[in-house]
Amino acid sequence: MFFKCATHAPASDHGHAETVANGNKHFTVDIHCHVHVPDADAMLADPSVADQAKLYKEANALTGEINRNQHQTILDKLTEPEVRIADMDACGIDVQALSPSPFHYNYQYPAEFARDTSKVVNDRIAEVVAGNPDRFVGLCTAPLQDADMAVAELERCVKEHGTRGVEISTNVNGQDLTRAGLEKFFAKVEELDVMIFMHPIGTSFKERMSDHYFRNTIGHPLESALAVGHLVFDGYLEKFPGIKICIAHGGGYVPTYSGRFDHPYHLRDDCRQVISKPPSHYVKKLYFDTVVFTDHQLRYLVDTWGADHIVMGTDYPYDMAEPDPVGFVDGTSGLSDDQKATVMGGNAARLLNLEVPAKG
Amino acid sequence: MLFKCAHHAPETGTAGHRVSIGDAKVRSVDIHCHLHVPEVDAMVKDVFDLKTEPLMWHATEETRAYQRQHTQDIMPMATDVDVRLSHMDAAGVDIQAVSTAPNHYCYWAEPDLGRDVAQTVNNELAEMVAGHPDRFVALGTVPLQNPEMAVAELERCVGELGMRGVEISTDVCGTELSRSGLDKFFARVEELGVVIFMHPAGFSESARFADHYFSNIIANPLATTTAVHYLIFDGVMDRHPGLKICVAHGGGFLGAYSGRIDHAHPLRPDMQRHLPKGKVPTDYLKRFYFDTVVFTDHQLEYLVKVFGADHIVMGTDYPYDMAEVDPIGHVNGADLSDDQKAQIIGGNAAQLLGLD
Repeated sequence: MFFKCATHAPASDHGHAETVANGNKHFTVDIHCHVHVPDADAMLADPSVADQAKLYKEANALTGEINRNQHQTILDKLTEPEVRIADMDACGIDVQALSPSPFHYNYQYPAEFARDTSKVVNDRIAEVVAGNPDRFVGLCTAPLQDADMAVAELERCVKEHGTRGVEISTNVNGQDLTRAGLEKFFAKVEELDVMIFMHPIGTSFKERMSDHYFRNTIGHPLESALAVGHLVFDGYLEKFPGIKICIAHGGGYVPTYSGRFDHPYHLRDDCRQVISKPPSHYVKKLYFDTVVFTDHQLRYLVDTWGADHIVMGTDYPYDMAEPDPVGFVDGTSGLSDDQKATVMGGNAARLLNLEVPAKG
Repeated sequence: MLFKCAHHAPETGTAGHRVSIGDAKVRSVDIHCHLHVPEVDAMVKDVFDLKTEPLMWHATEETRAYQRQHTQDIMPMATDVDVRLSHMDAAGVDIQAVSTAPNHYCYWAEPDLGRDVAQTVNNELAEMVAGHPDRFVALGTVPLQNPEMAVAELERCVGELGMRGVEISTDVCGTELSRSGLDKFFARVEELGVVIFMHPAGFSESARFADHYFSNIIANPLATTTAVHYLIFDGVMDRHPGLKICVAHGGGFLGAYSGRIDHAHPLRPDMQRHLPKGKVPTDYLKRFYFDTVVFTDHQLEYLVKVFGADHIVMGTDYPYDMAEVDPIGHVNGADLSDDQKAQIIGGNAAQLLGLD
């Protein structure tokens, strides 16, 4: 079973008298969960892009088989709002911030094609949100291989659909985010005051990560580390001071390994050409989700970066998801009730511009 | 000044046993420090290709120029034993477990040349130890590109030269340690009961590390992370239960980010091939030792909390700019008990290195 809820969730075994919604003591938001849109897959069958579709290579054969089977097993969770809502209820999640399945980025295809698939994906997510506006908000995808098209799609989604932000990958077909001509895109995100949710898909370091699912277990936090590294050292977090970026999987490798960024800043010109403050100053501006699986790492993230920068997530409905997000945060040692409320929903409400329901 | 000591280190006294924690004298050991051997540069000059050194190859011209100058600046520290001793005294380090500069690994060389390089480095290390046996022990280097030669040189290092272990890189020119035919080498290390100190020399792939010294500050912990993953998931740690491996730079990323492998492992057959039933990946991770070169109090405290004070070993990365200049002050400044500090500053290293 790929996504089972939830030994500690929700409600009754917490013993809380006051509830907000859904039996929770705190308002709860899942900032990291995905929707798949089969119509966008169907467009990949177009012969004009079929040869490029082959560019998506599997890792080893067993990993490929497991991933294909998983996709079938969880397909209804990925596509059907009713199934999703039942799982949210079982896990004690009030609101999901829906982002596209990372398979929908399509940055490796011609920009016009990715623009068209993005539109299909984003319109479907808007439809799901419209069906249950009290349970869902949406994050869109944008064709980052063309900054103008990406800006246009982002503006369309925010204005037409009330989209709360945009999910982006950690690189654009192998180009690092700060080297892909995306200044105007980041500027637009900042201007619209929506958030970025950054989520990797595999890694460009394929050669040495074919086995043992390393393209995910190492590749994902590594990709996030490279993206954070470029955003920090290339000065994007200085250039776009108002930008709100939440990084998946606890932010990847950097937030728990930040000393090696700051140490050379004080010694080496090649680590401070662009920035005027130590790297950790900029890392502090980022937000990290809770998908780290261990009590000790979540505690470390809260202690190091502040509860106001840690945002509850799951990675629903994949096997790499935290199956009991509320219980995980609630059970983390040493967090105060206020910190738990902040991590479970308060931060997401701020980032996503949600109204927190009154305690009932 | 590139290596300045040491805000918290002792101010007075003669060398040796000057660090006290509570009432107890602690013999302090630096398990992570390097020796440069200029003779090796001459030996490989004609065949050296910058492409074999990812740290420099995947770097901008600015970083390369900086690095060339840095190498010149630190040469006295990297080669001159008296300079080294004076810095140890200033930092309060009683004993260095000296290993080769990573650019002397030369795994890319023809095996005969690799063996000659290793022997040259190891003889130099042994000479340095012989001159100051109360201040130094050595970790040798071996030509991993040829497992038989690696075993032979390991035996010479331990048997003839009295070394306490070997330093190895995280891969053999881009091939995983677990896939380089090294089982007999690991078995021999295990039999001899010596320590492996694993230290990266950049990551083999990609231009994405070119700027901002990412070729070191991201790629080095990545190389370590990848190596530790393969040693676990390819079953090397399971096949060699007695291996003692100390991993540089706080163990790379995995020490601070270990939940993801344990979560995925029970769910995915592609992660279970070489691990026996009933084991989880971090069972093996907990067998490694990690040095203290992480620069922050909070990460050091975290490593101690998760892996135990008995698995954290003080190091510096002397004499490079990426070294911790105040290793004892760093440990003392962390929120740890006196017993834990004593273990980290010297007790664990004494055990691993077989110090009297």
